[in-house]
Amino acid sequence: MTRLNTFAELEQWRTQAAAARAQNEKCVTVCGGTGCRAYGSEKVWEAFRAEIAKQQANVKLNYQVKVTGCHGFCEKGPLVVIRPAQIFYTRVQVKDVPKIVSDTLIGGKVIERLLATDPQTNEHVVHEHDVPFYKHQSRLLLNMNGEIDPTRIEEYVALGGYGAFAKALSNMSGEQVIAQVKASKLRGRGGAGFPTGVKWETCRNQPGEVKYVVCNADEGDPGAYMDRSLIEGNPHRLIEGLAIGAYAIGAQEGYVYIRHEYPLAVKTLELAIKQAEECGLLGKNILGTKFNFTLHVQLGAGAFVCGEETALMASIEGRVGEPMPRPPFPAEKGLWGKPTNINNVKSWSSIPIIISQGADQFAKLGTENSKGTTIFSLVGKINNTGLVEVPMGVTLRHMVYDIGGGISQGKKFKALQTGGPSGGCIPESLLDLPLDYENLNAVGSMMGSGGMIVMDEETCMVNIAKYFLDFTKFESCGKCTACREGVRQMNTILERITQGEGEEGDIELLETMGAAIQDGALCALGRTAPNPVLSTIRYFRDEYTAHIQEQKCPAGVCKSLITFYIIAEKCNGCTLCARNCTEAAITGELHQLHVIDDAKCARCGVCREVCTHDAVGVR
Amino acid sequence: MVNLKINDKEIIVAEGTRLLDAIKMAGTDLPTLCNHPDLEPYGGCRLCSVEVSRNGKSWVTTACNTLVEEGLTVQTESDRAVSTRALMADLILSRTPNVPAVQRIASSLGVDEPRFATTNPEETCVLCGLCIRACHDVAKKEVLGFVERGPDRQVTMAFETYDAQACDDCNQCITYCPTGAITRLKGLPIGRKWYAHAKKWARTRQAVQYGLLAFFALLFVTTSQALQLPINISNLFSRLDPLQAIMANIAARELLPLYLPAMLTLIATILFGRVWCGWVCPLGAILQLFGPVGTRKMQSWFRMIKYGLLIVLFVMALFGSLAFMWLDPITILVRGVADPIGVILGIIEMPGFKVGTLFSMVMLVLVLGLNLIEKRFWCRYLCPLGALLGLGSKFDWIRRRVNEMSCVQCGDCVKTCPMGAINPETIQNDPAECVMCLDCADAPCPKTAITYGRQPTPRWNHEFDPGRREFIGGTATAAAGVVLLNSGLFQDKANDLIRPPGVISEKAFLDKCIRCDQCVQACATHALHPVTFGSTWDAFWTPAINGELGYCDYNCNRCGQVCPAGAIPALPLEAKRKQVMGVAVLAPSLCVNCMVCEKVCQLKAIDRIEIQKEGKLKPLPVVDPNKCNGCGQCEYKCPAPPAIKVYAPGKAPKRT
Repeated sequence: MTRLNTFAELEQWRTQAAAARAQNEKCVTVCGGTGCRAYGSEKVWEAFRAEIAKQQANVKLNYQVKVTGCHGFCEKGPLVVIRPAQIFYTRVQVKDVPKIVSDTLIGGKVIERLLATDPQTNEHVVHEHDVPFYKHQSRLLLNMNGEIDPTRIEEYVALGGYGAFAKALSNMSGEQVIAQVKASKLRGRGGAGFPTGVKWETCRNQPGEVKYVVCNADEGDPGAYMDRSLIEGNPHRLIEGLAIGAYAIGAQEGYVYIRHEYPLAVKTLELAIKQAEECGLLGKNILGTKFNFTLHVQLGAGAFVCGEETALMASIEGRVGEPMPRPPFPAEKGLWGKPTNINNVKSWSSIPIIISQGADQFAKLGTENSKGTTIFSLVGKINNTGLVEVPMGVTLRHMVYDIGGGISQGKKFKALQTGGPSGGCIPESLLDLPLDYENLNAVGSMMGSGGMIVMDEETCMVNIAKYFLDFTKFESCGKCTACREGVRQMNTILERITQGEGEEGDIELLETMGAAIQDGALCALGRTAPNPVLSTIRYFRDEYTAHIQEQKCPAGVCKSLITFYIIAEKCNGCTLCARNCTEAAITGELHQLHVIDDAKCARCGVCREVCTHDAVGVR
Repeated sequence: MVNLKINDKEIIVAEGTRLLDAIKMAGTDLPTLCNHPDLEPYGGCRLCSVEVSRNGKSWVTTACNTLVEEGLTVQTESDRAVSTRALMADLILSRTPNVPAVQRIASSLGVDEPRFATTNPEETCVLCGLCIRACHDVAKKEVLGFVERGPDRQVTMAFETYDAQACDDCNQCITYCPTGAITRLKGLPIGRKWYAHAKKWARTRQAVQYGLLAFFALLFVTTSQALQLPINISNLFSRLDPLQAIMANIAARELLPLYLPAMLTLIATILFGRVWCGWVCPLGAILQLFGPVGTRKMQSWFRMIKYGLLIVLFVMALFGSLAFMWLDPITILVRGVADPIGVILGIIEMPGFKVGTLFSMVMLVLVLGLNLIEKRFWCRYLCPLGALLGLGSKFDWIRRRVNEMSCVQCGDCVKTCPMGAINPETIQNDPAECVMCLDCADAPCPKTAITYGRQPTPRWNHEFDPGRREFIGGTATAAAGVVLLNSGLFQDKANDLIRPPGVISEKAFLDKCIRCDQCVQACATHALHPVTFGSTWDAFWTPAINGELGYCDYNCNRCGQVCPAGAIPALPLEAKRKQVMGVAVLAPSLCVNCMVCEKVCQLKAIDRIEIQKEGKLKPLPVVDPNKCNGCGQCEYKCPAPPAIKVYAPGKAPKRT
């Protein structure tokens, strides 16, 4: 790779790369995201390479095998797209590869069996863009994930990569860049939604020569993985965003704080940084200008609280990851006491788009106060789990039913949890709520970094609140009383309630505590930790009352409060439940009605899971 | 300057002022646990949460780390602020329910009982991080730190082991700890040098105190067994006793050189307080051994009794009476132990053991019994010597000092004080009540806040200063006592006591005798006994020869040697033999003419004459009053008592 010394050289290189890309238009793209790798996609692409090489002897194929970043439709992995025809195959196994090569690549036929189906119409869909999961999305940040090989910088450059950076460096002053970001009304995608441009301006206006930019890639919410997928699929856009930001703010050094648990993302990012340095896009005198920018990767050790910006900075400095009281804000006194600008991966990755397409174009998407798109990881009891990128302002119902394809196994929707462990649960009555920062806050939840967990009727809301508090209790750094002691005590009370030992007044106590902890905690982790409890009390108070007053768990989850029984009309005496019962609590002869001995029953629910006739009930 | 509004009060403060300080200036004092003026704000305890608003937006924040801003409105008593603070206090109290510092803060925020579950009732650490910040920022060390997170968080050193090379025992962490938990961390001997030092002194005190008690016992044994020490120091403790010294000197109206050593005690008291009581006094050493500590069961006026008694003794001494000197601790111990316990243990052979002698130990039994109510009950409330030394201690040079910046009023020292001297509220003490035993500075103080050092300005005005009432009351009682003693109301019998050899004037004797009964103990033949009932009240517990029980040995002068006051003069044997104690008088009608008296009289004061009796010629003893000194050997040896009997000078019955 040659070092680029002028803007013209970059453009020249881009032209070459685009031409090369056009030449290799025919290719088999295999998803190399962590989800698909878990499904075995590594073997799939190796099989493709071997099979194509084998067939090459007989037929001239000209197909490249390209490993890309995460496509987002992780439910159906490993995903394979045959380009340029855009034939979209799901759940591709190694054994399918020879057939794809022979039928599709050589024969030009579509293998129906491997196509995605529309869960509403049950029809096969051939092309990626027609799949309902993708059809309703507006992929701004994730757009290149399925297109490019993240390990090759040329691919990104070919699609216009580093153009925005060059534009900013050549034609714009730092103020102008910040003006553009402000005009785009981009808000922090880490969850709090602070206007990014304002934050940049504050940091730029701070006195001092040394400033830092930091990318928060410490994505710790259970079930959320969009930052990881962005880095795994398109690391250069993040680097470009950071470089533009550093230029605008006046920083010469940057850090990407990334979880050590993301080995693939770390590897991809480190490789990308190395490539960018070799090309002269990072380092000293970038593209022949006086701008210098060095980017470091800092690994986190897995503490959730290090996603909080002050704790994150402490961790980078080598101290224990504990939040510091704000003010002073990082923009005033950040890393090693210097002005520091911290943004989330999604925020940084949005910057090249804003600069290259213009702030107006970006601001066309979204609502009045929340612009652009946001990425959710849609998980839980839903048909299409995966990464979803939508413009701000779409309704939750649209997310769940149109993109997510409805609740799995035809169960009833109960609640939607957003914002990770410190978000809130939103009931069905609020499903038509347009998604944006203010709306989610108003209903007691939050945007968070974008986790979205769908819950069906078999989810106990008290138990779910306890689950999230268990998480925050353990992940609290323990510095402040409100979070360390308060969340622990709330969790203890919830534990009592789920064990049938709830007392009159517990709900009110939880509400009082929750309000005081929201006010009293030191950092956002503590301040938002009571959200799961408060929002479930707000919308599902009857479930709490049922636990406390009637000693019942309406969803049939809390073990101390439920009884399993055999529904006589449905049981055909197959003995399946009896054979699977670990406690030998089920008795019954073949073809005879079975009975559960409640005294022996450990309430594990295996009988209910294995029964093919829905003959095991819970009350 | 910045204008802001705190609780509807407009105030102007300097830029950069912390909100917490501004609130204090506005007249509201918010309690905090994790904040310290020397250290950067931490924002951990959240106890200083207040509601602030600006531009119509309001939020709750901690005042410690917020700087004042122009136009800020602060409400410390809004519902949100109050309930946030109350919950924080409740949570901290639930974590550490038995820490007084936390209890006080919680109580000031309306939380008296913890509402939440307590995991470990012994927990004292509130995880405020002050120790760690003191270690890092003040001591410039990085020895302490947190480990674990969330509910498992705790303070410790690296790998939970004490690294003596890293930690130089600067004790900054201890000084800053708001609860005293830091010195109780498991496995970390924090403050060990300090404790070693404090322990060393406490151990020294114990060694001195019990060593002197043993020495006292040794003197006791040598005195009662008539063993000769190279130098005569058998009455050393009495001679060191300034109460005896002062009262005897006043009552005798002369300078008694024997009591010069008591000056040492007075000087030591002015320098170091009641060290006599804590380090020297043998009775104190015994009382320190048992009894409940740490409580103040009696009302505070009980402490005044000892001053009252002191004044009574003083005023009576002015009137020339030492009648109540049996209240002196040394006399109580000697008298209580010398006779009855000596008899019981067989150290003293006392053929005439009787109720009167047993009565000698009444005071000691009482003092020991009172000790079961409170340790050193006697020393706290009654001891006139303690009162005297206490008055001196109120101006002493070295005394117990409590570092108020460090003390967290945990009250642990209160629980160890044998004198109940430490006020449970203030943790300070009246130096007059402290016996300088140094026990409180030993391991109990988790804050190493107690030191013994110079007092910059000695001043009156302590917790238990005696006032005008005590003086007037004591004086009046004493005057009444003197009047009563001399009124003859109680002088039911004529004074016919036979005093030890060398006593010439009964009045002069009573003016010097401090009723210690050491002569009784020393008397080789046990002729000397304490006077109890049956004589004047003024003579109570003074020594007198009981001719039925013994006699004054021709070759013994020990009573004079051991008398600390010189009431019995220390005479050489030759001189002593010439001292007249009384005179022997024969009752011829009872005499069996055995002439034993003639044989035993070493002064040859008994002659014989021949008389006709029952038709036979029999010898009859005749006493030469000019030769007889009344030693009583004849009386004691007489087989037909009381055929010959010794009477006090001038008290002999007239015979023909």
